[in-house]
Amino acid sequence: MIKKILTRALPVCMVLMGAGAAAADELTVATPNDPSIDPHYLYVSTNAAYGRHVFGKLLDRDGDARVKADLAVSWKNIDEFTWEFNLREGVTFHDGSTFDAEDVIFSFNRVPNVPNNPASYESNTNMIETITATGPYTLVIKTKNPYPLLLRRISGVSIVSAEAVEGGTTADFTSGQIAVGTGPYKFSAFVPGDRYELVRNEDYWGEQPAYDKVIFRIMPDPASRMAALLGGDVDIVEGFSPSSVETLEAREGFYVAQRASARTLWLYVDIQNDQSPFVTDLDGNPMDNSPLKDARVREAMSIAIDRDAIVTHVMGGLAESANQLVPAGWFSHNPDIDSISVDVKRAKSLLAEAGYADGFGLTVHAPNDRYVNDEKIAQAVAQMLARIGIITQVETMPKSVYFGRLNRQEFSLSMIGWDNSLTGSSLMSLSAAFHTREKDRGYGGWNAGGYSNADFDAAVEAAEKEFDTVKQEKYLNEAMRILIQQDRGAIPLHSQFTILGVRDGVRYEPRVDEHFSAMLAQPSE
Amino acid sequence: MSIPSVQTPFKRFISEYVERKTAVFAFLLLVFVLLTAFLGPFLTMQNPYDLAQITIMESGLAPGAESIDGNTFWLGTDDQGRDLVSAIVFGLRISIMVGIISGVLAVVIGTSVGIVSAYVGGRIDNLIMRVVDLFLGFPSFLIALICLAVLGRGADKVVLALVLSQWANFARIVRGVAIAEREKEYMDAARGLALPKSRIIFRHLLPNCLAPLIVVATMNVAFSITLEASLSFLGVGLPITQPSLGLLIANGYEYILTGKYWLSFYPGLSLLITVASINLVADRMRDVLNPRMKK
Repeated sequence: MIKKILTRALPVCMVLMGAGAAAADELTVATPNDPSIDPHYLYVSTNAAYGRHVFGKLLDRDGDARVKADLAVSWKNIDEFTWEFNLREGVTFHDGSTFDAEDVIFSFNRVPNVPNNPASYESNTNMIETITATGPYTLVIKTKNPYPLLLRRISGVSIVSAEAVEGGTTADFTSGQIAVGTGPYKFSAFVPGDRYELVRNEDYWGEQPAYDKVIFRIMPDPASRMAALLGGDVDIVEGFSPSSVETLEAREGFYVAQRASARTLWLYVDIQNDQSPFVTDLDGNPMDNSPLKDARVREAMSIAIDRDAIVTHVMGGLAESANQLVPAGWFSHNPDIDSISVDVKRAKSLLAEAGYADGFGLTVHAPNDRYVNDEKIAQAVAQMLARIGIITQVETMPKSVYFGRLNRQEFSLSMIGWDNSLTGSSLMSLSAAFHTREKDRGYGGWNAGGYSNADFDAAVEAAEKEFDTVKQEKYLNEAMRILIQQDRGAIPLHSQFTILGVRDGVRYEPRVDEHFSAMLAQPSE
Repeated sequence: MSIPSVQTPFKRFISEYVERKTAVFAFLLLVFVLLTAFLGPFLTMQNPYDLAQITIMESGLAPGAESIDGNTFWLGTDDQGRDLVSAIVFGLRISIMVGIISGVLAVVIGTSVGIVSAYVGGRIDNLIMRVVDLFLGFPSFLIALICLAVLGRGADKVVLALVLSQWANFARIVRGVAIAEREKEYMDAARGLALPKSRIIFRHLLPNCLAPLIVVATMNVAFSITLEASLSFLGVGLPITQPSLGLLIANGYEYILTGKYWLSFYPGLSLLITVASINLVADRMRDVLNPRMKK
């Protein structure tokens, strides 16, 4: 809180001081996100992005979410269950030790075993039956079931040094002691809530990044980040506010880097509970028979939401309205699903048909520091639901509180934004967020609405095992159709853009997965 | 000056109060603010707390812009499409209500505790005062922040947090005054008459402690309003769909560098006027009520 007070007072001071421009060999980035230095702790995409600077992986994804070689130089699919990898030779960790297959095995074994991990990376390793070294630079991975997406999954697993990390804890990473990877940058300093500094790894095996030194300045407040950019204090602002885009573009010496991202926002609807926690009758009493269980009510809610208005008036045009959970143009986007057009009249008659002509009470929950304009979107949604007679309240909270409660199914209507770039398809969101909860089989870990449909589950599981991509897409499209068109199991909102404010003199092209990468920044003179 | 001997204390207070023109102006301003807060909500073009009445289609409009149904947004609209005049009037009401209710509650609780503590004395006094010390040991802002972090959002919770963070001040002040008063002759007389304790405390002791209390209580309302605004600005306190002045300022803060100045400016100005007028009135009251301050 105190931090927040300071960060809100800061921009004014900084504009007054007119701080000098940053040096050319240094890149300073204003970011809202505190990093986890331990690359196996707290799986959120911002941490995955930080991790890429210091740590290598067997395979990585490029800015367009295509799989590319990293510490593995080649790989082969022996049969449905077996994969063989040849590792890069002559790579050293930042502490000078040599990279080999033992480090890979150590890292894969560490992923599910990080203590007190609020969000584990194990969804990227739990399909693996065994991982064995057949030589110092050759590996064989066997999966429990046929798993065609293995390559994409392991692009989410950072490789740490077995020698350095053995017995070490997450706190040892945070102190920098064992933050040793093979990545293009080395850990230099970290002050939580303030800054994270990296220096170039001169021994990096690949292409050297352009900047000697990268400094992430952690600034949660968007106005502070903007002021820091205008004041010449930082070169790039991550999480740039759409409302400031016009202002920045009008300024001499700055530009906005933007790109449609693979992240789609939707609303979970509590379909499971007869007595949904935040559904009330008109007098504010809990209801025994939740209206949200009625598909007509869910459809009414969906067509009450004017997505184009949200895109134009809340997102400043920097988003694309969605009718399903993957953006158009992506693999497994189902072209046969109708676009959702706003129709207040029909929404009201659907509510009446379901027996709720006078509406009911509902609270929409959302984080207030996770997605672009999340809090404002929630309020806009509430306005639109209010217009069809649903008496809607809005409750927002920081992501640190929000996601825990979401996963305990404590909400009735709740917002989430899902990045589809890891699997490059709808598979990850469908299997994690809508497949019936089956923890031991690794399904439904994020199923906050309690959606469950056997046909849907079968389609998702078939897609997951299918090596033929044409067939796989068919299964995924079928699953999406069941979820969205038939069952109205989720209410899609829009796909957001990744937006950065950049100083002239720095060239930056955003990644489709919204991950910030200093390796993509270059001086433009 | 008329003849002092026929003046009641209240009349004397009034006649002295009006001697300072700024104080009269501040009082009139305060009356205007209060009328706006309590009558304004019946006159505004929309109820900004009713989500069905606002639309993001009208968000971020400049002052003087026209609404879809032909009304004029004199001060523009905020980022959710609320008419800023309506939002300020409703926000003012909620800010002042929270300020007054929590201020009065804190005064009542603090005064009761302080006066009882002073009159009873001894071990109980000691115990009570240590509790008071404990509360005074933390900044009131911190106490309120912790309370709201635990309790969540809502006007009732804000009031509770503000009372908890401020009652100790009053207990301390009242106890000081009451201890001095306790030793005076009229108290001996009251005790000599064997009046019940409660009667002595509340009919004899309390009225004689009132003068300083009135001043501090008035100032406290202003402080409560500021405190509530600060809490809302930081995103704890009132629900986001029912913005008080502090929340309106916070909402507009994001746009401060984008030229949409009205989003924060007018709510900020309203807060400034409200708090300044209360403080000026309280200031003058202190001058009049405190004989030592007289020239």
